[in-house]
Amino acid sequence: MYKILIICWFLVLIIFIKNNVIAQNNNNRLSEVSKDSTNKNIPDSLKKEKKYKKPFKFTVEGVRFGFDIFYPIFDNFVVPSRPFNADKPLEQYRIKQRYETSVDVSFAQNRFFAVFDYGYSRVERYRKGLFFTGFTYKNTGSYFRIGADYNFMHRNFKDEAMTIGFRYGSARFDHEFEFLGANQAWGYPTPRNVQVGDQFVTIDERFVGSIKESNLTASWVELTLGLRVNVWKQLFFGYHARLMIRSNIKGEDRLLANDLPGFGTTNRNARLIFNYFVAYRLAFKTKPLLPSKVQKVIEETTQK
Amino acid sequence: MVGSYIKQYFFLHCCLLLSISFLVSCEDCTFTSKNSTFIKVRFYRQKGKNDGRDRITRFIIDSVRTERGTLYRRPVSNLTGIDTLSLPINPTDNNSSYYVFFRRNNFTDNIQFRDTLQVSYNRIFSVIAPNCGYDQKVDELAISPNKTTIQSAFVFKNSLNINDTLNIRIFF
Repeated sequence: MYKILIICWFLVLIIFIKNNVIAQNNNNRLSEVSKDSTNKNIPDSLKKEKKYKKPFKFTVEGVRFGFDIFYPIFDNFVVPSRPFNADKPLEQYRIKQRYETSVDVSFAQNRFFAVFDYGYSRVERYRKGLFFTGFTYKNTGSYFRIGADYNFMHRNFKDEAMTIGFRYGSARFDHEFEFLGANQAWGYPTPRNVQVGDQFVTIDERFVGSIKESNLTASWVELTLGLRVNVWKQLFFGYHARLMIRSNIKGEDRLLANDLPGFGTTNRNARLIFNYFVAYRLAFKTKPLLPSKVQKVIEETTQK
Repeated sequence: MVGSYIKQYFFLHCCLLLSISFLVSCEDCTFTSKNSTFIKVRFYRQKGKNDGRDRITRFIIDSVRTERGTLYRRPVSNLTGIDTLSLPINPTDNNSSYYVFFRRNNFTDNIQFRDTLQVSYNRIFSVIAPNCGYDQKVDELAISPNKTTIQSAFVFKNSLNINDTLNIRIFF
């Protein structure tokens, strides 16, 4: 499964780079056409000022507020939660509630983004029906990520972005574990059905133990590939592919954490996940970087 | 032009990544743990204590009891004795287990001896996969001297593994 995942990751990467190259070529052709037409029409006095390359200048273009849409869709519609039913305790139940919001600030002409994410996660798993290794695991906590993105298509896009970036993530959480099992030698038989009148009643005399640990912490680093697309006015839609590598979990005593808020299951030290998000941008007014006359002429020629 | 291009390809990316996400979300049950919750015990003669070679391969033991049940009872027809005893740890106690051995010197002997053994350990739980259940890693196995009446017993290997053949040596 993990090999498939890695292959897919490279596939995405190849498509990503391929798209980038095609877009760059298209843009070069576009700029050549506009360059020719610009030279023909603008007055000679302005021809010397033909450096339209965005100069680096520290300006803050806007703040984008977003929220993740993948987790709510996945947890509510794809694999919906199934809350515990005490009347049928041996069946499988699962609750997953994950929410994530993000804030990013774009600066230096859409080149860089400072990113901050905050999320909440609640995961509950009920597998009491496993006779010898039945359990209930509950994990609740929050997390944040902080980092930066670089838009490697900043020359081509005014609002959109194709980014590569890094994050540092940290989670704080509590977890609770209830374990059940049958062990004849210690006087705990397996559940059995007993007929009482016309009905069968399940008698469960397995042992039950519990562990509760609080204020556990974990941290991880991420390498991200992302895309932000301006779909309507200041509304953006996008995704992030994250390659995450975690460090040790602090605070574990008798129970190893099975889930980390923001990271997912701890079966592997490295994970690959995807987030889709919707965001709204509050754009700041910034001074135009090109001289107003040049800007005007370019706009006129482009319209023609 | 580039803007419309990126919008067009954005949805292609979304479809691809979404399909991968669903693929990843499958929960497999691959229980590959080697951890064990059974203590393997073998019996030795006291005189061979130093080298541990004088093992009793047919040790006569009537029964082994725990606080709530019996984990071994010799069948009436069994006159060969036992070689290795597997003692399951107490599932409700994270730190210790207590066992009582009822034995006799030979099958025809009327005198039955009673020995006690208390072991302590460290037990750490983990969830292997949602469909597999939980796993327990037991290590730091030790014999509690003041709760044990057996003359001498030694820990040979202090972490429990399914491939273990010996964890505790008991000398009589």
